[in-house]
Amino acid sequence: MSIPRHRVLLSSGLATVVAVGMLIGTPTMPPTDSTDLVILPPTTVTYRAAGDFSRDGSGVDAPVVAVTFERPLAVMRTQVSAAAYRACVAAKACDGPDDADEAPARDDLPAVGLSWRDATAYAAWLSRTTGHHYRLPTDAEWVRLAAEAHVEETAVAAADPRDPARRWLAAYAAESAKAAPIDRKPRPFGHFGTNSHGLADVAGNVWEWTDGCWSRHVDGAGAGPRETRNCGVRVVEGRHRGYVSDFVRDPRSGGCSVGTPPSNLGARLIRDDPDLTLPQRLAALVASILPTAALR
Amino acid sequence: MLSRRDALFGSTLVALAAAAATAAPALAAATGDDVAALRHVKVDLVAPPFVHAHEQATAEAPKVVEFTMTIVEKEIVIDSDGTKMHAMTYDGWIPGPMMIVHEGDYLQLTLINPDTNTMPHNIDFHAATGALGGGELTLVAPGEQATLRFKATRPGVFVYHCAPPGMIPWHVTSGMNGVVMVMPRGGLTDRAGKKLHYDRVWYIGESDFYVPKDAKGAYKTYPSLGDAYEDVTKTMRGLIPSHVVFEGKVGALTGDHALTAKVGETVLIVHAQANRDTRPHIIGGHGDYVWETGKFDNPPQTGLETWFIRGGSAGAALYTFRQPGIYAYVNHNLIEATELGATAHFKVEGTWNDDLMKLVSAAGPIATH
Ligand SMILES: [Cu+2]
Repeated sequence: MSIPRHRVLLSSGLATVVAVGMLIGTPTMPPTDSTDLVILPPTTVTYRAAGDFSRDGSGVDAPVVAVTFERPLAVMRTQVSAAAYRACVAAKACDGPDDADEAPARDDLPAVGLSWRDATAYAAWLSRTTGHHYRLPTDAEWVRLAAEAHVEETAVAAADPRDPARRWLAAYAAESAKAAPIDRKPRPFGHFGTNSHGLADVAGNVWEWTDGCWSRHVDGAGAGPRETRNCGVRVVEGRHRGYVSDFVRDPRSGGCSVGTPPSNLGARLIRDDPDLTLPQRLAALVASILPTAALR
Repeated sequence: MLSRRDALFGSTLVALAAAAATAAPALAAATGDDVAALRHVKVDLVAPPFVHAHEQATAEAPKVVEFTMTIVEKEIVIDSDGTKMHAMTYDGWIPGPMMIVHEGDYLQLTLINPDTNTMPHNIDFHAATGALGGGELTLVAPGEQATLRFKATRPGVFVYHCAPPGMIPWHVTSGMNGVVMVMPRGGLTDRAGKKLHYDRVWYIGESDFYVPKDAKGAYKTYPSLGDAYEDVTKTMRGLIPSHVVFEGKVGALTGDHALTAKVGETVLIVHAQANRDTRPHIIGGHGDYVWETGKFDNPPQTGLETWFIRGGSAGAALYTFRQPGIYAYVNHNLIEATELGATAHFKVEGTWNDDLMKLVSAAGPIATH
């Protein structure tokens, strides 16, 4: 099955109402937080769900799901920087690499070598220090923020319960066809360009942790659909999706099952309850009408 | 959307399937339905170094032998100093319990990963054919179970181990390995085809552990399995084990836990090392018949001094005790045996044989002339 990539459906009635509501809502204090955020407009994203799916005992492609976001989403323009993470380490709120006292960390380079636990600890610390609520994106939110940088997983082959190798070989071919690993060296923000939302380095050489848990969806004859979730393994997103144990910092081991592992692991956070400035609300309103407009 | 490459794969497979269909009479493989009709036997597993009751030779028709193993993640103590390690185990044991079937039987394992665990696990049977030894089909997250069946097509002792994507050596050297023994239907034989029997099996699972040390050289402990991962991986990459042990712990098979036998009894010592080479030796004894590579279709070597077990394999040695006393069974890299832990003891009772050995003159002052 083939689906249009990055189809953005404007269930525009609702979206516009929400955006106008934000525009005329009560004025709020300007943010006390210097984090550079981009406000994404309400939208619907359609993508192939994360997780493992099987029917009658054999693997099948994940279903294509549509998720509607009725609220704007405040996203960090860049990934968490090396300097920002180092500050969290210095505050003893984050686990630091042993070389924490070596060369000063740069604020124009992404923090790499973060585990999910590290990224979550950083979000908690940033929330405490700014008074806002920061968190990792859900998998759907990541697809939303990535826009055209999200590469849909390739559908592999129809399930054949008599021959598990067939789907396995097809999945292997799909993995092998993915881009070769890119240089792991962290690059200054913007090196990998910006996407249509104005977010820097989405799907560059740093994969981003999400809050999505690995899940398995079993649909068997007579048994009905059942789901198991393992939140010890989280979904990472970038040039391709991966499933990585939450304590892993070096994805070269522990990454995608075959093919290309993520080059690096880092984070880009979502801020809830954004105190939108008037220009941001206007931008969100405009973008809700023109989905490809870059927001500043 | 299929890529050209996928399409190529697809058409190749179709072609292969067509070829297989025309060749079907020659393949004569049992279908799943045929196997379901065979006799099914449930067998309870036994903690190593012992093995479940089994026939050596069998007159029965091939059957399906069903086992169940529960994966247990737990912190264990691996030496007398109290050094701790976060272990991952099959059924709570290092090595995992031995499963015994006959050639032509089907081994069916239900692998349970309780939701109290934190990691996905699976099992790769070196005795099985296809799907990475079953590893590709058996990955179970906490809260899941899977049941795999494979046909035991070749006789011998074979390693099984966990092989989760990206983390294989960590799981294997944290305890997730064991042995399947596939007996020839007629039992063991020597080079000339004469039947060989044993009174019992001793199952030795050798492990190399990699416990990280702090700056002062003290072994580190970690609050959880995941917390230990990074340091353990670094230590593993050095390829120098902190411990080399039998049955998961220094001294697991010595002192009160030494294995016991009587003069005249014959033991089959199965020795497995899922990760690293080793060289078993019975100090004061021999290997009467040794399947060094562990595969019973090959004639056993006889009268060996020390034999070699390739990492990732199991071997078997048949020995009849002729002399009472204490035997040390070691990995004859003696540094690993004495400094790192790879020693077991056998306590053997019976009557001393003066013909085999006699102290002609006890130790005393050097004679003068
Ligand atoms: Cu495992």
